[in-house]
Amino acid sequence: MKKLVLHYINLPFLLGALSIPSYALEAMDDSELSSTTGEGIGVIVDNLSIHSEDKGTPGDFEIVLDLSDTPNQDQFIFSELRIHKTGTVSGTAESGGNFGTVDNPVFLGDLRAAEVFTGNANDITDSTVSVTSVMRSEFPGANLTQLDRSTKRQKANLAGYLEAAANFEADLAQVSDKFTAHVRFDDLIGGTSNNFRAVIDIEGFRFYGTYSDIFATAGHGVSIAGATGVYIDELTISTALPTVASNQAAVDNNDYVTTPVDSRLTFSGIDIYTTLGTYDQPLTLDNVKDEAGNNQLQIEISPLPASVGIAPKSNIFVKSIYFGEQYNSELRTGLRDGAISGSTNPEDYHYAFQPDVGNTLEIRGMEVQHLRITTMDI
Amino acid sequence: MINKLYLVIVFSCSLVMTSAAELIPVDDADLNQVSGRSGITLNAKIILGDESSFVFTNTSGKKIADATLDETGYLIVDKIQGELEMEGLAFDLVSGLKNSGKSALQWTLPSKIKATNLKTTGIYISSTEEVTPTTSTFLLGLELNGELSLPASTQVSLFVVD
Repeated sequence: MKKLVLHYINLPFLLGALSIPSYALEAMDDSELSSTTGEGIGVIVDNLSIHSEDKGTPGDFEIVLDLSDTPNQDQFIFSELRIHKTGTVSGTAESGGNFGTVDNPVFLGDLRAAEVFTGNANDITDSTVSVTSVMRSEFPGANLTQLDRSTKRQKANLAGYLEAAANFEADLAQVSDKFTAHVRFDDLIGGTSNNFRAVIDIEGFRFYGTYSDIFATAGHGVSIAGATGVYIDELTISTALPTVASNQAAVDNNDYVTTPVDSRLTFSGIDIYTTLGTYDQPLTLDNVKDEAGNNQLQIEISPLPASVGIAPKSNIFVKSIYFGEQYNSELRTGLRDGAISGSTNPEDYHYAFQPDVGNTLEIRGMEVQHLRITTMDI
Repeated sequence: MINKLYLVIVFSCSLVMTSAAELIPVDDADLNQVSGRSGITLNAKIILGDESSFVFTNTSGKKIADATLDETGYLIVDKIQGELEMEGLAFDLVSGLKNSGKSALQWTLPSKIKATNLKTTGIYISSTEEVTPTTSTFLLGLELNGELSLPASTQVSLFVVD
């Protein structure tokens, strides 16, 4: 069985990659560079809504990944694909959301000049760059940068942080609606054991700061510099399928997620920003031979040049984590100030993994010095 | 001369017949939604045999003629096959997209997309342009089955950005 793990999927990169011809990009001379105009193709999507029915019922839809070259043996199965505007009901005529505006669309394909590192990465004195042409693709809101959501910043000036967060939301709302997504994940092992694994619900997500530049480097060919940012209101992973009772409870509580509460793990207030290659450290795709002489796919972010020293930083913030329901009595850590002991109001208590100020999880300042992923036999 | 006369008569009759169709007034709200449209709507079904494939060639930044065998690799989506059916796909040319003054090619995406055994037998990384047991390594297979609906009349507009 082979295993391919893609940690991030950069959609502008995928869109751009579809338009790549099968010959290498070449550097442009000065006269050609001076003629680049910044023109490209803009794309806006109105009323975006995709729906498929529950797995096993009429109108369902499946994407099956075969992990073995013998079909129907080892599979990942994705079904119940739904994407629609947050706050609407999937599958209805009113469920469409808008992605991009005329002034800030999905943007494909202008050519621009960039200085790409071509020196010796191990030589701290070598900062040689070559001017080359790159093809730019962007998502709406590509010009927005990640907000510093760190606990340190929030504690230093909570009012200022809340104002900045509200402005960030308002800026994003100018270019895209919030979307909600739903997918079910199953697997098949050995051709006979069909297993339900999880239902994933992503509520209120929007991209920002997402772009890719595609260019060519010696020894690798197609190379990518880019970044992806996404803010998600809530992401819920459920390990049980909806029941009649849980469906009714979801209706009663106006809850988008319909799985039993006890089966849920919810991450709230997620902000992920990650760079996927730069002009100094491009992301490349190569075929390489393993020790047995078999061809393998290698995805690599080049070593950080010593002369550059610091790679761009990626950050992940998660505001709160809910185990089961948000107000899980087993996770109470104390009474709030002024609350009466024994209160039946769940908001009178503090809960673990739900800080009033700051985040329950922060991964800050990730710098990729060198990344190499190679497919292999298992 | 007589032939020309016949042509004039036939053409005139066609105009009369056309003008006999009842015109229905369009209110302002509808007019605001439509600006210089012209296009087509269609249902489509494509059935692919298993000879279809997609090949991406990586020559390590060199021209194909200059790249050695070791510098040349192929990503192959092999034997793409199956059925894909779309219902209600429309193409329009629109002027004045969202009052921007821009012209756009506007696609109204199908209300339903149905895939029946639409699959590739494998995505391979290969040192040859054809998949062979000795030069190609299987990465994964992919198959789509079932029905996706787009219930909200999803529209994709393409335009030139200055």
